[in-house]
Amino acid sequence: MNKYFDFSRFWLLLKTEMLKGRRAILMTLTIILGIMTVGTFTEPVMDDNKIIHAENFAYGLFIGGFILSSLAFSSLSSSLKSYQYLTLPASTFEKFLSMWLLTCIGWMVVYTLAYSICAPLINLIGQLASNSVVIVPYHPLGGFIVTTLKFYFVLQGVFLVGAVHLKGYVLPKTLFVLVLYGVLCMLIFYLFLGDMVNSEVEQTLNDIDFSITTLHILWSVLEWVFWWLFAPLCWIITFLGLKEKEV
Amino acid sequence: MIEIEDLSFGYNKKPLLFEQLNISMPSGNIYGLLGKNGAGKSTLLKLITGLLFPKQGKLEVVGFQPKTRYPQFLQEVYLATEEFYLPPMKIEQFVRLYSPFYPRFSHQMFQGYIEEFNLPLKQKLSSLSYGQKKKFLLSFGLATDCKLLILDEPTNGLDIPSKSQFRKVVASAIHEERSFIISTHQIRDMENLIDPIIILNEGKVVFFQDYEQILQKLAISRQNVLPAEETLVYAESTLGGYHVVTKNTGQEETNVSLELLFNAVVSNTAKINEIFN
Repeated sequence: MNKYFDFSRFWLLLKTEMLKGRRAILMTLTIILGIMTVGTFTEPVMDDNKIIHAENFAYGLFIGGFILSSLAFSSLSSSLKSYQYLTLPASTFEKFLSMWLLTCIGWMVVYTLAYSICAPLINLIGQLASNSVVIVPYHPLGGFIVTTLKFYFVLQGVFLVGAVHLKGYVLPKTLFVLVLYGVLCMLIFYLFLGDMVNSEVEQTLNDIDFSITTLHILWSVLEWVFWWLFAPLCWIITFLGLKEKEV
Repeated sequence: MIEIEDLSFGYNKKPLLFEQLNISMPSGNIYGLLGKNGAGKSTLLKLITGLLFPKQGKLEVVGFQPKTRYPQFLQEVYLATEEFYLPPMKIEQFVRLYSPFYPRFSHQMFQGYIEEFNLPLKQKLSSLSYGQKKKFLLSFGLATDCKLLILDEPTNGLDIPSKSQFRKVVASAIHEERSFIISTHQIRDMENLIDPIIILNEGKVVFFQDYEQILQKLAISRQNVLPAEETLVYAESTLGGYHVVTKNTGQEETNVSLELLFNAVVSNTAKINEIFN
């Protein structure tokens, strides 16, 4: 049997985690979709009387997924549960992978399927609530939905990092840390690059090619880091956190 | 089974609890780990199970470094802590879910222990009493057929008949390739079960002897007057006399009272060392 990964052992672990997490997944799904379905009744009195499925889908995917991801590794929040979880005969990699599969890929698949089932119901309720409601159709494989899923795939890793490294109130603490880091990054950016970027923006206004500006290069690098490095980095930090966890 | 060499460990921002700790524990024994509160018993058990990592030194358990927490290591070590969490599911569901992680898990043995302890299979674990939960954990741990079973305060919360059942079950489950470590303060419950006896005090192993050695070198008795200073190790006054621990000079055989032995070791470690070395 392999020290790091054995398929039959991993499958056992995945089944165990699914059984343990089934309530959390079902409750999150029911609450998110329930709010969206019931919320459709308020559509006629809300802003533009439009049902935009792609937007609803994105809100639900992110909110539900981040809540679920923050609940991952919840066994580590209590010492008594930690004993059992950390001494369960499965490798750290299997433990990480099972949780990642459930909260990332699993949630994306289950939520997309569930939303696809609920979308006609939401349409029906919208039409019952108001004759004049405008429904922007839902395409599960449409460009916006795929992009949303890609964003979730990348961002979800942050909440796994929080789930392993923070004890209690994982979701608010992770959001707080994110905001803090965001503000810090902006401050550093403003202090060190602010003047240079401002002067370049002025030059760009004077018909200088934007693609050769520092701002553009920086943005391209950040974009590349976001799509290709950010998620793997989060997964590695999560894995190492789990590996080095002591009780 | 367990090899500890020059191990150092301390919690963050606190002085080292273990410094240059050395222990060798071969298989086939039921080790009794005794010590006062804060002596380091639970910490040592956590180090052995890979729940804490040593700062320095060598720690090898069943051929693995516990820190790695490899599945092959975890399959061979089962820890039943004093306080524990059991998920809200029935016993049979728990066994169905967790037993496949232990390749040598014996359902037949488990069934036997469950019957011995009279536990209800169909009842939810969360609705069992504390004592019943402990018996369940012990049954599960024994049925895994792991090489090292660690029991922290196993008789806490057990009623009187259950304590003798516990002793019977544990004694019957030991074999040459297996070891148990029982950490406890309820030393009377462990009499005639644990051998050798390990006593930890302030992060040091101050005593590690088997019964045979103890019987050869110490005499524990009740006497009306205190014996001579040179043979006396420890005395406790009692109604009309003294319980005394003395150096065994006449090859006399006595019954070992673990409580007296423990008090003797902790209060007069120097003399004990002198006798045993």
